[in-house]
Amino acid sequence: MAYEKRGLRPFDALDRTQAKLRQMVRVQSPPIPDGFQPPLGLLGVTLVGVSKGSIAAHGGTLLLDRDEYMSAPVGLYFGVNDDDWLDLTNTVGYELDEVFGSRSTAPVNVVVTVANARLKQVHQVINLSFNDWVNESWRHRLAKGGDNKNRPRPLRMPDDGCTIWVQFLLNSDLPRSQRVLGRPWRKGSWLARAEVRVSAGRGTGLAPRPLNSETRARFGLGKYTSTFVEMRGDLSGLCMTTDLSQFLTVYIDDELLHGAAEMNDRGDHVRGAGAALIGRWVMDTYRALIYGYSRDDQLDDFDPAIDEHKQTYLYSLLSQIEDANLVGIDEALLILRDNPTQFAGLIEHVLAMKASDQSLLELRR
Amino acid sequence: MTHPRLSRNDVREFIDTVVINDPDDTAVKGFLIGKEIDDSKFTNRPLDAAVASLLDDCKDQRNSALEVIEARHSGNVYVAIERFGDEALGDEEFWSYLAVRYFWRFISYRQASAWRSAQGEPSDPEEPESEKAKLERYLRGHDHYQIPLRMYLRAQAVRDGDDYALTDIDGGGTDFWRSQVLGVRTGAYPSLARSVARAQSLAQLNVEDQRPPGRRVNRLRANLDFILHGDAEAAAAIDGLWMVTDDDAARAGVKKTEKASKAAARKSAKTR
Repeated sequence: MAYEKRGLRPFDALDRTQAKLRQMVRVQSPPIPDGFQPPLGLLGVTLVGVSKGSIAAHGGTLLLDRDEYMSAPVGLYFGVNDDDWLDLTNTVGYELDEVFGSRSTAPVNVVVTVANARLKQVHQVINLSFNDWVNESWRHRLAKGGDNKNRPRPLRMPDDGCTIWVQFLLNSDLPRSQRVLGRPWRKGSWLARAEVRVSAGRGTGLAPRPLNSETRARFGLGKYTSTFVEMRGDLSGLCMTTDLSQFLTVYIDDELLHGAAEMNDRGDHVRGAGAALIGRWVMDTYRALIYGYSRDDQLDDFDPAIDEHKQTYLYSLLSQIEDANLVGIDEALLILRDNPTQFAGLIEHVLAMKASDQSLLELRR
Repeated sequence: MTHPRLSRNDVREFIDTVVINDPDDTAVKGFLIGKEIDDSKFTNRPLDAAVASLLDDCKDQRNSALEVIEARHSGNVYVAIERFGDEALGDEEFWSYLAVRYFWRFISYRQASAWRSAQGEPSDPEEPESEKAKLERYLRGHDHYQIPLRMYLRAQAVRDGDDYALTDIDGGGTDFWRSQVLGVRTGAYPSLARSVARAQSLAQLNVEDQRPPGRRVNRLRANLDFILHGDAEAAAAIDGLWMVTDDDAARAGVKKTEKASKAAARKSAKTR
């Protein structure tokens, strides 16, 4: 059992494949029309909810309307053109040659599954040997349009949402002669993987929606407003939820967001002010959320010791403050109750420690 | 969206206004009508029959027999619930409706302590709210604690075509299913779930002894995706894992000693 020790990751065997896969995998609905290429700078960014229909990269969420979720075609893409495809397949092939001696005999399959976590349902939609996969193209169809019975079952369940996994798996146990200490050898070992969530409005609820002329008119905002958090209802129970979208919606100027989020292929912001702007939007959003918590009449009932409360978004904030060695969870909760602006100060420190604060707005994780 | 559903607040209201008054079928129906739930298009005779049979088996049974009864009826409940459309099944609030509409009486038997607590008679007077929160968890379709969902998941995890025999294996008590199958991703891979259930059926490990092998399976599953495995391959993958090893026994012994000395220290502190 030595090979299954905690800490040894299977993708150590194919680390370049892992990096390339995560850079290139995208899920999009509706699928890309022939000949269209999204701007290259947006490849590394998950544009959750920025435009109708959606595109999501590894770690992101494809956000669809309820009807779209159940009936829209969904495409899976490895890059955006034939050159990307060649780059990816060459990288994988080269690493398979290195690890298994020959790419043509490497016992590796590309497997794509769609999973509903609550109902524990995993549906396989693609299972191709490496040799068959390289003969395909960079475009794959995961689901056809229309309310069809062949649609993967989790893609017919909009309330739960689902996760699409793209994995390189060993398709059989390696013969003893080929086993190397520290490398995976069992059938099913994942050598590289990427994941994209698909949601019909759930998630944390912090994914931004476009602030455009239509939404500005709806909320009576001026043209220089770049971000706005809509709060709904009396906010009772906000602290007890994992799905903030029941209570609030974040709007960000879509043009500014695209510009600020644009990155080059090294993952750096193309525009110098991009990171700072996003940081400001993130903190604005969190200040609004903290204001909401402070008005929640159930905040006094929140108890970090109760298992169920540990599933909430608020608990994740409290535990991040504790992880940052500022104060413990109980004290952080007291601060939120007694002095929300001080709590916002703690959060600002926590956010600044993140490698990428964009992750907090589900732009990129 | 046309299927009936109950929100989390509805479930709380059900507990606070209906459960508390020792309900009958009329009171539960009245609650659903009060919520303006029209479920006339969502009749499910097989589920009516499955629940009636389940309740019939519960008559005059002690609480300790209910786990076996729940297990035995999981297959029938699964088949009946599968008749609802995918859109409804993928909505946790629909499951909350199912729990209230069809399973409230079974929940009152099966989770009698939480039920009584919600009626103002907590088994632990110092923890009335925690017991009540448990009842909410048995009613809400949020996760595998909920009664109809856990029956459905158990059958789904280990069924072999129309054969549901593995749902009530010897040695498969509530903790085994909750911690080793349904609460982890093992439950999402039937070939693995069946292999673990068969291994537990043979080994009949108690709850404490299930933990180390459970951790070994979880660790294995973190590195392996079982989507490509047949039953024989999954069984081979966990061969030798579902047992108490010498290391496990030694660690359990150390823990027991630590626990005993802590208890002794507490006792002596109290007497001082």
